[in-house]
Amino acid sequence: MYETFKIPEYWMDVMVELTINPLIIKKIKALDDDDEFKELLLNLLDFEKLRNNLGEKEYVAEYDRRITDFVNKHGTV
Amino acid sequence: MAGENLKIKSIELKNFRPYEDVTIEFSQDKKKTFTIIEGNNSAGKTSLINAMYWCLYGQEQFLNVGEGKPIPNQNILNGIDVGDACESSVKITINDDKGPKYIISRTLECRRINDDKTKKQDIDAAGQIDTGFSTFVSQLFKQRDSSGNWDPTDDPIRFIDRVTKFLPEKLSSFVIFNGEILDSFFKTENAEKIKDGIEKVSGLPITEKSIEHWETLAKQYSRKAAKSSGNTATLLQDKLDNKEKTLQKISKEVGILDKNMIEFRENAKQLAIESEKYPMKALDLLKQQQHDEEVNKKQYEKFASDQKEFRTSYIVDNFARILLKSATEHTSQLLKESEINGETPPPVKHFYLEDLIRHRKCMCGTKFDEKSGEMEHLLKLKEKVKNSPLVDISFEGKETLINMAEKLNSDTILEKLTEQRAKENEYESAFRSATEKVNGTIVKLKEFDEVKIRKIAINLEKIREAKEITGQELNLKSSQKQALELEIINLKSQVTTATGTSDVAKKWGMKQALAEMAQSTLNQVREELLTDIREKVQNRTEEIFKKLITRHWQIEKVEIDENYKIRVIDTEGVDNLKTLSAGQTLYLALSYIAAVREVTDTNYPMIIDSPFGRVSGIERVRAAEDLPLYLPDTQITLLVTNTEYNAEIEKDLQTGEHIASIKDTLQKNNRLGKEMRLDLEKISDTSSRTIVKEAI
Repeated sequence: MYETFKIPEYWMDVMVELTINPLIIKKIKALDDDDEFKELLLNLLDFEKLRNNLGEKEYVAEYDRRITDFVNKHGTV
Repeated sequence: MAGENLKIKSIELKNFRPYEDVTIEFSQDKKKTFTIIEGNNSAGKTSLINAMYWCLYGQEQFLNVGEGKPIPNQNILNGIDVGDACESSVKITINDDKGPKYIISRTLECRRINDDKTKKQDIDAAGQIDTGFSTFVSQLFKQRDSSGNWDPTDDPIRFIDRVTKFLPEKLSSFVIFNGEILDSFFKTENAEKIKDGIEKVSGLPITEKSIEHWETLAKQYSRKAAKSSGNTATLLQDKLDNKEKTLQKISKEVGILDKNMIEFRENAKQLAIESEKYPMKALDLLKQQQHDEEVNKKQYEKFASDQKEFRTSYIVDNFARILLKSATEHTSQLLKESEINGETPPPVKHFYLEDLIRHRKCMCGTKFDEKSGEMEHLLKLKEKVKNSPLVDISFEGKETLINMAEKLNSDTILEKLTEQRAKENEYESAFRSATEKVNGTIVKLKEFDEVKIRKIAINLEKIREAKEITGQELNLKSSQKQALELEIINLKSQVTTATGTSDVAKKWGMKQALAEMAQSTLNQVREELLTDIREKVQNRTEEIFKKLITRHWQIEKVEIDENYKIRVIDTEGVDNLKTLSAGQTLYLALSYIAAVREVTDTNYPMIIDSPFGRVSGIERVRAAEDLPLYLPDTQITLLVTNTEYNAEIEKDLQTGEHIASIKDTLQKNNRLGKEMRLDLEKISDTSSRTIVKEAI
């Protein structure tokens, strides 16, 4: 339900494949939890790929924004 | 990167250490995957590896190679005038299945800005250069995009990111490495190395970062919920934060103690096995035996010597008598005959004869008359005896002869001598037996390396003491940790109660619950993945290792436990890791590296410096034959010395068969793609350059 974070063209270049194992994605997708919750986890993992370019404050703010949206929409899991 | 099959196409080196202007081409053949770069020591093999590291990561891997000399050739630097510059560069071209995919280069420019000839340590030049030089490093990373166009970047940050994407430095030790140090790869801190390797290729940093962020958010929400509910909740939350900080600290300490305990346990176990092989008790027992037998030996030696002395003196005492036996008997006979013949008076005293005459009694006891012949005979004899000095002599002689005859019982003497001799033999035999026992224990003691045994025993004692102390400390800290955890649970419940049920507090609470759940879910997924990868690496390591080593039937399994401790279990269930030979350890490391590489899902080339330096015999050939089977389509480059590569290896001790050289083996199996030789050519007294001659 959440859009995958839009990664600017420039930063696509610096994505580091070896820092995210595709099996993690598979395992998360295979969990028994709600799809929305799983999507939130996966989207935030995608977002983490930009770690070289954001400070902790920006990360926390982005997490907070998405969590708030999630809670507003679904209550809790 | 996933699924890519990469090969080094070429490396171009310009004015880099011993290389003036050289291009090395690597084998691109799918079957003939080996590229051999042969050269004697100092010919430039390690400089080639350093050049690759420098190009990719901006610094050389194998330090001390330059010994303070900078990357650019000193002769060239000396010839640079003020205002001019010289360049050192390394360019690596990497192919994928479609051709050149990445072109990576790094250039160092040294420009003379003044005549200052004093030396300075320059980081860029990686050595000492004139202070009058300024240095500048540039880099270029070109990659072929999906439409086949080249996409270059010279931006330092983007360059690093691209290199990290191409081959992260943390993975480089599984791609470019020195074979000489692999034999000690698992000797120390093997759990850390295995854990490090598995975590490096597990692709977890992003997941871990996400877990951290979820945790941060969960704490923030908890604090905010408390703050929105007044002072009591805030105070409790502050207390909870402090407790959590303390818990974090104690958990870290427990972790370290736990790790130490594992090491101590492992070392104690290893030393206990060693001490079973070289038992201290057996040594002490043997030494006691040696001492006892030395005492016995001395005692029996004395007994035998005393006995011999006694027998000798007995022989001396009786020897003359034995020799005179026949003479004595003959003399007795003569004496008797002379008496019968009346040539010598009988050995009787005249008072005895007077007594017989007075009682008219014969010597035989018969009575006779005064006028009988016997009386007359006795009277004559009495006169004869009375006036003859021979009587006394004869009497005395007879007595002596009788005594001598009595003592001259040869059977008794012989019996005594035999008895003495037997006793002496018995002592001598006991002495010899004790001597043999002493010598035996001396030989056994030589087999026992006493210094080693005592060292093992002392170390074992020390490790056990350390284990005991650490165990006590661990118990204490673990109890503290447990108490803190309970306290934190309790505090959390108090915070929840104090937080109340206002809408604001509820909202923060919901967010907190979500963050905590996300954190826990990701942690669980992370652990599952690590377990999967650990098991995969373990199974592949075992499979490859068993294939590579000669005595594979003695190895039951290779085990990597949940603490990442690697064990090589033999058929008797004993861990052989620390007793593997240099060659076996090298192959275990190679097997592990091959297994770890498989997890990355990218087929990187493999470059090994001095791969067989510490390996001898058939195991070298086995590696050349079998390694390609486990690294299919992997480009393997070996930097070897002539001895490693060309020398025909000795006969196999087990079969007596002649073993071929690495070169012969690779050629026979059609694996040799490229072969070149590095030679150092002297330019002047202070400098030389590497010449590359291609053989295949």
